Amino acid sequence: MAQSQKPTTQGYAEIAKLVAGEAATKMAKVVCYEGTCTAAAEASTYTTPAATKSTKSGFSMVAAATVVTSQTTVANDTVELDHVFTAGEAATITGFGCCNNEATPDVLFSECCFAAGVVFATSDTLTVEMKMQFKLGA
Amino acid sequence: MTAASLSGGLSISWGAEHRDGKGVLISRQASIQEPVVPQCIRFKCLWKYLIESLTYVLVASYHARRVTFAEANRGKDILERYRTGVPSPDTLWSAIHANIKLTCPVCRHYNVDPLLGGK
Repeated sequence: MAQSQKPTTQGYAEIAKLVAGEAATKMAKVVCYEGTCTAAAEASTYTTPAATKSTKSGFSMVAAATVVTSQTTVANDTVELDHVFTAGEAATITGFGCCNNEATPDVLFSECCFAAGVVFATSDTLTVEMKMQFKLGA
Repeated sequence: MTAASLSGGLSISWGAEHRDGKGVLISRQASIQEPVVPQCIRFKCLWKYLIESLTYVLVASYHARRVTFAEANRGKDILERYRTGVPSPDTLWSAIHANIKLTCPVCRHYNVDPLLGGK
């Protein structure tokens, strides 16, 4: 399978609400995917992601270690999420998604599918980084 | 209200790195951007898009197979490029070379390119 990455339309809406000051929450949580991750898609939502959200020990939904702005082209034009997962049991991970800051999140901002499934043994680590750049121009 | 159009939007890039419990790198994923759909229908634009699409498919295929190979050879001595994905092929020709090399056990062990006569 080819690797793929997409922001979601659900995420666009949440960002618009945040700018307008309407009820919305920031990007804060991250979850790994298991099973066939067909392709990250703009149509994906929290309830219908590109693959199954993992419930395996160490790979389930957690608050990301850091979510900050950084520079890709101009200062603070990028939201950057970083986290290190530590496997609590064997698992095969096929991607991950970034979600909003609710006790039970309801918005998927962006997701990616790996090029190939990654096989984890207990205490292996997966370091993930997601960068979402607000881009002006082509 | 006058409608205005402006190209741009959200661009996503990502990284993922798998290490064992001792911190030894097993595999690193590569984030590859899809080719941009052409805005003109001139032959030159379509040809460029075709080449970029073929390159994207071959580079994505290379990274998928490279990661599978690195994961299957956890703890074994393999070329570092298959764990890190660096250097990554960036042209159609280099992607063809990289894919063929990856399928050849002798070539990937001795780091030689079968299409260049073993150089």
